[in-house]
Amino acid sequence: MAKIVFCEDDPMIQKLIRAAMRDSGHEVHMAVDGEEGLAIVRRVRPDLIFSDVSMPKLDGYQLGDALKASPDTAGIPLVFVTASVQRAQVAEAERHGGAGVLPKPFTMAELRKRVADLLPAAG
Amino acid sequence: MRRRSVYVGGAVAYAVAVYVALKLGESRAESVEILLLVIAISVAAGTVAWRFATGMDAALRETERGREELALVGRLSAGLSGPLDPPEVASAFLDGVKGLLPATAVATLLQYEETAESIRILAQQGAALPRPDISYPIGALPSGMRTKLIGEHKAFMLDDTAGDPEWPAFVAAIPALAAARSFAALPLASRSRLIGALVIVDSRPNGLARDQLQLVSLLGQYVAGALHNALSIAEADLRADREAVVNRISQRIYSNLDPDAVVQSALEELGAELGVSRAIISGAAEAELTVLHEWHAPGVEPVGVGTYGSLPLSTLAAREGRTIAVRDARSDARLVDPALGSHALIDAGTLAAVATPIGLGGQISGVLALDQVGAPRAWTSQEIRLLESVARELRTALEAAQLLLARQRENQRMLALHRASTLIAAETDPTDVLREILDAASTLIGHGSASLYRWDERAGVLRLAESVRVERDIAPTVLRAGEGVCGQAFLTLRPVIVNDYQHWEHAVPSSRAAGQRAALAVPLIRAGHGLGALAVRSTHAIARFDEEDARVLSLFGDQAVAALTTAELLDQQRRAVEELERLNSAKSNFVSIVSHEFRTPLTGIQGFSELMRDEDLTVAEMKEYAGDINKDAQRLNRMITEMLDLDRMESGRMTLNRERTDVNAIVSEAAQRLASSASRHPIQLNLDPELPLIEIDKDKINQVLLNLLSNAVKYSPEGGPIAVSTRVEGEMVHVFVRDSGMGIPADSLEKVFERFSRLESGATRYIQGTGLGLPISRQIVEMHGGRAWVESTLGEGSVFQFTLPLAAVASV
Repeated sequence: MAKIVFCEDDPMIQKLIRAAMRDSGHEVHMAVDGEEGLAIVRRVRPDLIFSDVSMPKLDGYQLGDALKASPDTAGIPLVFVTASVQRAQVAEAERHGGAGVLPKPFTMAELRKRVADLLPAAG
Repeated sequence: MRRRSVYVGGAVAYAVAVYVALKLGESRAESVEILLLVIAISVAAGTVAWRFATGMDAALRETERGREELALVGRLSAGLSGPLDPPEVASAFLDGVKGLLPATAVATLLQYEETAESIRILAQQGAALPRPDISYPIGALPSGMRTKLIGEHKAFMLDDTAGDPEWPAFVAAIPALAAARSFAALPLASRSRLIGALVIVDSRPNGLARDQLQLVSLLGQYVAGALHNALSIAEADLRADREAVVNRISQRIYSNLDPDAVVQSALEELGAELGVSRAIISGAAEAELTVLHEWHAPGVEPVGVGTYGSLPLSTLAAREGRTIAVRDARSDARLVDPALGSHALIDAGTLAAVATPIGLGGQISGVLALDQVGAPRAWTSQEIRLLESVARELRTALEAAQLLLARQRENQRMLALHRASTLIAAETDPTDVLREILDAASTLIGHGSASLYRWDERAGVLRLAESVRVERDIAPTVLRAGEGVCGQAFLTLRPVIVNDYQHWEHAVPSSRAAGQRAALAVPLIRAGHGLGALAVRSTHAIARFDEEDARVLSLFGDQAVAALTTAELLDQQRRAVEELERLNSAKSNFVSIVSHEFRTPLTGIQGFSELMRDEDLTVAEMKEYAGDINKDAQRLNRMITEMLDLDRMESGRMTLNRERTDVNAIVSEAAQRLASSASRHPIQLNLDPELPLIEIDKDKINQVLLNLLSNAVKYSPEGGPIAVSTRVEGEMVHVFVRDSGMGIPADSLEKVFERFSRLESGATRYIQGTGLGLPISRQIVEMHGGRAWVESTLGEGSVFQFTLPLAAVASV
């Protein structure tokens, strides 16, 4: 069982993710902004992080920078969830330590596949 | 002799009669009888003889007096026909009439100098001869004497000076009269011109018999004629001398076209010729004369070119339009008037002066004056006439020079106008064109600054748009219509010329205090509407503006209107481009928002419907997800609606449906609606009962209140109180919505009013935010003419507030 942290400020999407991940067998942690996300990541040491890009207090990119700056968290794969998926945004996501981009709107199948791809097979 | 022989003859005759009577009478009685007869005869004869004798005596005396008078007239004629020098003529006359006057009387012959307004002693007979060539101003004479003698050419007599009220003042002016008790002044007139007067005084009261004076007065006509001739000849000689001086001066004048040099050389010549201390030309400004040119003798302190307000005599001469001579300024009653200006020069020792006005173009343009420092001076008619002649020459020279200058100025004006048109045609920056126009106007018309004011329709004031050479405080940045020359020109749409700014009723106080003296403004008119006004002004004392200046400034004003129009067109063009750019960016912004912000609710709709399709769900779960899909669909719809609303408001395409509304009622309504759906937050109302009804769009303000209240609910902790209050502040209704949330950092207070600002963490959302509530609220309030903002203390909460004007104002 892996630990996954989701940073998402919209309560509807939070609810949707919880529903989608309910039967996945993973431990899901939900943060409402980047600041809370960083705190949870430091506390639970997840195997995978999904983060919205535009969030209050600390946005997705700032969160990515903060994670990259610390050796304890630099290795955790981070996926940015964003509505903007033009080439420039993907490059931007990579610069901030993203292991990929999940474009909005995403299907539940896409979400589950991305989780499966990024978690160690032993998981 | 004759009378004595009659007496002696009578006495001898009587003695013979007594003797004859004694001899002839035989008796004593007979003798007595004879004696009585003889006495009777003698008395009768004596009476006849006495009567005859006295009659003869009177006849003889009359003849003798006639002969004497004839001899006197003969002597006078002989005496007066000889000399040509007025004092000699006068002395001869006094010698001639000496016998006709009491021995104690003193006679003085005075010459009347009309130009110099003085009387001059020509000759004096008898005791206490004063200094020769002494003269007195007419003003020193008693008023009765002035009226009689000078006004009516009649004799003025005082039988006893002790009883005359004006006498003491007369004696004070002419101390030589101190001992006189009887006084007579007899006019000497020739060909109805007053030549002079014969003044006779006697130390005894009633010492001058009128019948004695009658003859003297008659004889006076001889001397008057003779004096007239003598004076005319003397005057002709002097006039010839004067003409020579004037010719010399005019030669200098006409050899030069520079008016300054003309005036300077004339002053120098005149000053040196007459040996005065200073020669001054002052210019006529509306209020005060100012020294324009000055010559001064070596060692004399100059008054200083540009000095004004201290030329009382010149001011008097300008006011009366004639030459005025003052021999001793300290005692001259004419200078007492404080309106004539400061007496500083007199106090500093300028004791005598003479001033004559210089006419130019039909009006007095200046005053030519001569000063004498250190001692009084009796100005002679000759000196005064010389001064007047020079003034006339100067006038002609100055007129010629001014014509030339006017022509040069006209050429310069035309060149400047041409240059301004060229600049406008070349589409230079309109600001540069305006500066160029002001610069040219100021140089050619003004002696000082130039400014352009534009009417600000919204504020209802004239605003300073551009200025050149503005001195301190002289051009205020804002003027009301009617205030100052620009305000008046704008209000009346006519040129305004003010040459006495210091005393002008519409003067701007700060400009007056800064010493502005003359100003000229023309309205800027386009298609019959005032756009503003253009003014030139000066602090220089002699600055004057006239109709011609106004005409030229109007031409500059037309150029300014053209420049402003160009500027406005350019501005409109620039604004149109900006608007296009804004629309373009709004469009791309909208596209970006649709593609970005709309994806969040779309994710929900897509995700939940996917779950419903693919998962095995309970009916309850199905219903819940369907509800979630519905919520996100609604949110999407709200976002679209609000986006469109905001866009319409920002581009001014949304109008307000104003109606008289009770703000308190809307507040209560909104609070109630929220309380019913969010009962966990106590909502406290604190409404001002005095709140008047105001003209607002009820639905839109309701929307604002709902936005603010739902925000307050969203950010207040569970059960945290919310307070709404209203009150009137000045001209505004002020509404406050206080929450008990965690507050907003100071650097984000403005950011929360931006679209889709992400400041909130959505943990306690009641309504799914669109990110547009606050920008829409602010937009609605601003459309009403109010203001919306937030004040916040971190950890205590925020107060969202807005104002609405009591009086409806046009949306801006």
